[in-house]
Amino acid sequence: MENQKKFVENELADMAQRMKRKVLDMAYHAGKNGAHLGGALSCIEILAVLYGSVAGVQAQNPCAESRDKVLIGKAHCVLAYYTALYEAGFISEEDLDSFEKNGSDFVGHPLKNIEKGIEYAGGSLGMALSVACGMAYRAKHKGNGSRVYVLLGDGECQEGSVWEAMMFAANYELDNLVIIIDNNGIQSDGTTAEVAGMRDLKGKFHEFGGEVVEVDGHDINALKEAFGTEHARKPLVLIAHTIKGKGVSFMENQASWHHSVLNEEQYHKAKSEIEGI
Amino acid sequence: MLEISRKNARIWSMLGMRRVVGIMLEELAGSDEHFIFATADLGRYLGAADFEDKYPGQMIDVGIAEQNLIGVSAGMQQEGFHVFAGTYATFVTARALDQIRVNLGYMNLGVKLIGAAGGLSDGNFSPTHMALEDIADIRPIPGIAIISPADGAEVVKAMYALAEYEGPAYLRLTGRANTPVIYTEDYDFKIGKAVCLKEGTEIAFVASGTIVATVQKAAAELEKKGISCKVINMHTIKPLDTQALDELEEFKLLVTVEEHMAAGGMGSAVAEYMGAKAKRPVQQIIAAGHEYPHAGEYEILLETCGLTVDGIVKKVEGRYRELQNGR
Repeated sequence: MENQKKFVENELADMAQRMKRKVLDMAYHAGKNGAHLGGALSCIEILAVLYGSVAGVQAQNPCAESRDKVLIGKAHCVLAYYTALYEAGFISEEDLDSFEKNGSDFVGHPLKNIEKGIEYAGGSLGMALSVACGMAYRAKHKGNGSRVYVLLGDGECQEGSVWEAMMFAANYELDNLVIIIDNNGIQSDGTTAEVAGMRDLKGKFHEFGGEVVEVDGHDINALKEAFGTEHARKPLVLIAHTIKGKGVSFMENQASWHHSVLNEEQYHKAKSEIEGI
Repeated sequence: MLEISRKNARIWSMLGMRRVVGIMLEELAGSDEHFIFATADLGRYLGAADFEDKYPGQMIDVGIAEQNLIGVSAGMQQEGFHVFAGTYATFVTARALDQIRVNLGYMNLGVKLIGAAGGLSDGNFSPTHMALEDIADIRPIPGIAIISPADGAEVVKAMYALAEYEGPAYLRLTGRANTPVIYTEDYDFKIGKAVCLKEGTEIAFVASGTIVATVQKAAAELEKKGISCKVINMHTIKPLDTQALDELEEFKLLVTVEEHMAAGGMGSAVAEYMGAKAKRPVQQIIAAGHEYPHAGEYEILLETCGLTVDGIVKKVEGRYRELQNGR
């Protein structure tokens, strides 16, 4: 049993590693358009654990009524999102390689496409949690056991609509809803603390009626454990402490890498750092 | 199925559109277990005070949180509920416009929005509660139908039609209690198909909402002055019935009348279509204007904005006489 568990963990670590490589490749190939790198690298492990283990997504039967759903609020993390969908078998390598090419369906913010595992067209921040609430309410009403996971950015939580939705989630006791905050502390203009005076996110979500757990968002084991937290009659909120641009020294904690162009030299440096060379 | 009869028309007129919606919510919930009425603390106002008791589990009140109202409604709609989401017209549109763009427009989720107090009817609450830009807000968003019924019977017809309609839509309610009666017997209501209420040859009126009744009276006054008027109830503002408009090419004057800002409303929609024609009548847009009216009672506001029988007759006759003189 212990061996098997270890094997799965290694698999998830390998999955996360492949995702990171692909993220850098895609960003590099996006060329002068640039890409949202920082916030993609901060949520790699979260998405690897979700798509590789925790969420009951069904690539072979993407419209199954009983499927779990993953919605991405901080949809500028498409690099990580698309690579996770690829790993989970929803999209092909060709789909990935078409990223941000004219005419591609795999654009800078995801196009809703349930067949491809994309449940929601994220991009306009602060909206996904409401939609997730509607879905979770419906699933609860039907009693089909379907769970809804929604990934939000910490900066995204500056949108008031997040808190409208959080009140709803608590009021309707949506215990089939899991909110993950990619708490990397940085937004486009600087740190969330400087730009918007964000304080005590845990306290806020707790006061709004969530079961709140803090977790190291780059620790696969810790994430898996956190997802297993009991949250009877409450939505579960995981505040995942992460590093924006994780794994690439010159990107880590740099607001300028929220969206930027990766040149050839930077690409090779980033690749070797990711590989631990 | 509720009957369109003289008796019911009288009752619905007395109640006003909001409470007719309340009746219809129960009617639709009773025949569809997947029907959901969602609101942002405006359940009582929309005549749904007893709805939750009668249909437990079929009403969601999100509280005073319109952005969440749209998002939750969209999520439920995507999962197979049939959602009608209602609150004040200006809040259900402008307050949550980006949610509407993305969820109802871009993702095309078939939520039906209900906006109470479209136009000037709650004008005593001040411009914060007037909905004078709601049509302009929704109209550019691809795929959302906009319906503004002319009377209580048409609210009933429209809501039956919307329950069958797959796409997203916005139902705009106008008037207060004791609304005018247009329809006392059943008629053919189709989304996107205007109703000709009166034939004529010189001036064509196109109107929507409770103001249609005022337009009918204005047309009758003009007839007394020897000017032949056609009256069209353009209950669906989007998609516009272009076929009905094609029949107006030979008219001297086309008059659109609406309780909305002059910019971006039904009149603008008509002008956008008619403008491309080589042969077309001159168009006069009669609307609430370009400014927020000072708060006041509905009837006073209609008068201030020139949206009364006299106001309309005066403007239209003036323009018609100018045209006769080649101006």
